Amino acid sequence: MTNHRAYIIGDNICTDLIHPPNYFSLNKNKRQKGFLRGVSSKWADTIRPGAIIIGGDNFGCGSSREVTAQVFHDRGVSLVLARSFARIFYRNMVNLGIPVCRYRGDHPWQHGEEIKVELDEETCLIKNCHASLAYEPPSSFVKHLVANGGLLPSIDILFNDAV
Amino acid sequence: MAQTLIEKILDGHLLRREDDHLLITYDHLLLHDATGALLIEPFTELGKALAHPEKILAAADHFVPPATAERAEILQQYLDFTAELKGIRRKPFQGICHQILVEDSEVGPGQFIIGADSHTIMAGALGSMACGLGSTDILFSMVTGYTWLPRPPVCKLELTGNCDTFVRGKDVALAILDQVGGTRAMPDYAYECFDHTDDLLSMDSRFSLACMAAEMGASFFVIVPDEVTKAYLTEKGNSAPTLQPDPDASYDETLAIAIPEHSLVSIPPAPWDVEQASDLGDIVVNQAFVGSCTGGRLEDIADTAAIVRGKKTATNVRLVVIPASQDIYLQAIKAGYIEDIITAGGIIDAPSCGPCGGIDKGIIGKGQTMIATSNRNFPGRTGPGDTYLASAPVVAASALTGVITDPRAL
Repeated sequence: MTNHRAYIIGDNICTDLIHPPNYFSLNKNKRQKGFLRGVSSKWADTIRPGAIIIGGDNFGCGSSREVTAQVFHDRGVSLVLARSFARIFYRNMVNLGIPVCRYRGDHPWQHGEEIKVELDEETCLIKNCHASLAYEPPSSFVKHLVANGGLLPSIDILFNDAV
Repeated sequence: MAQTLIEKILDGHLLRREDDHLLITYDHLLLHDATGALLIEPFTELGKALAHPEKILAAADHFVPPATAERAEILQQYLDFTAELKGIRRKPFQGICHQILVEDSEVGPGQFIIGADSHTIMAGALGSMACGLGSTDILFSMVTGYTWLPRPPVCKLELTGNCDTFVRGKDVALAILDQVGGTRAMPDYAYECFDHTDDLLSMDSRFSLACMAAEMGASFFVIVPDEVTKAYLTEKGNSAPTLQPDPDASYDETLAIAIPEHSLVSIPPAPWDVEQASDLGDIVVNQAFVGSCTGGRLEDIADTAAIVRGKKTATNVRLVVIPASQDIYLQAIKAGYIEDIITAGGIIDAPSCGPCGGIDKGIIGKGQTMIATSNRNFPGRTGPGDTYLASAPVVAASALTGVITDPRAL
């Protein structure tokens, strides 16, 4: 596992900051240019694949438009950590199979730090982060979705009883 | 065992449990052009049939009419896509999807409703469970016939007091946001709301209130049906029985909110930063917007007309009014409200989402300020300027004075 740059953002980062409305598009090239552009144009231009995005409370509040989650995949983000996620945004990320994790308390990282994050499923601790940091384990159901790569790849595995 | 209304609705729609989640069937599934367009390609790739085409209601409201060539192309792809889905209820260009949903005579209390937009929660004002979802979730439900969710913790929310001449559902929503903020410690939190106010909130005010529950971080906001609900349902030809919670049902939490005595305003950058309109000082506005799923109904347009009638909007202030549906638009024309607003200097636009969502006509520019009946004022939501949120009486009063104004001060 290699080190990746950490991008630290605050509380209540809304979907309009994550992906400003005028980048809404069916064209992936246009769409991915909007990634975090409401937070920082510099980040939008320079974030590299593997980046780790670390937010605070209520990450992704606002709109349901799924482009705001797709862009994390487009730009190759390796992990999104937040103390809490807005409901729809969290589902969108899980459904698309993008790794998300809810940490507890205050995280120890500085913006721009090169970090290596390892989630220990047995202890629910995030390791290799100065001191260990506890995280909220995902529900068993969500774990299964993520293990299958998201919601649509799970259809024929978990949900074979269309009604 | 005594049950909440939410528990009764969930039990009535439970397909089965999967791990620690519920698989829940739905009565209606709502699509619109912007988020609906996102699922065209994955739907085609998935190659599965619709589970219940008759439950799908497809509106077009975001890019209507389109403001750019790209949006015209997205809209057309969506219209072509939905035209191919045999048996669905297509209702493009009739207004904002959430309003079209509640106007539909098939939509009523006790139902479970999902939609590809966060403000789908608004339909909870009819005593149903309604929630917004992303496009992948919606595509999943289109082909399976159900959705997944954890059992939500339920808060019993009791509204008391009375609305004065200018206090509306929007003020009640802002009072709740002022108290609870934009998120709760428990994810998937749901509200079961009892209207114990003296005169009862109007249905239009309740829709506005339920819409704003999206900003409270709620998964559901169910208003327990009463005589106001029944009158609304009867008028649109829905005679479905209204489910009620058991009187001794137990809740995870209870919250009592008194109707505010003053008009409230949400200060950017978030809906939950709330002040009294009369306390704000002179905040100059460039635009006053009456519209959106939260604030574009007949009550809002009637309030606006009553305040601007026989007067003129302030120099350099654009008053933009967008009825939430064609039906509301026609009613407003018949009542003379549209003429009042146009004569006062207002601009009327076609039923659509307008500037709410930052996607279409009426957005504000850098350094500009808007007072709006819409639902969000996050940075960049309605253009690069600052948006303050309030009820229609405050927005209309501000359009006349050019600064954010409590209507009582006119």
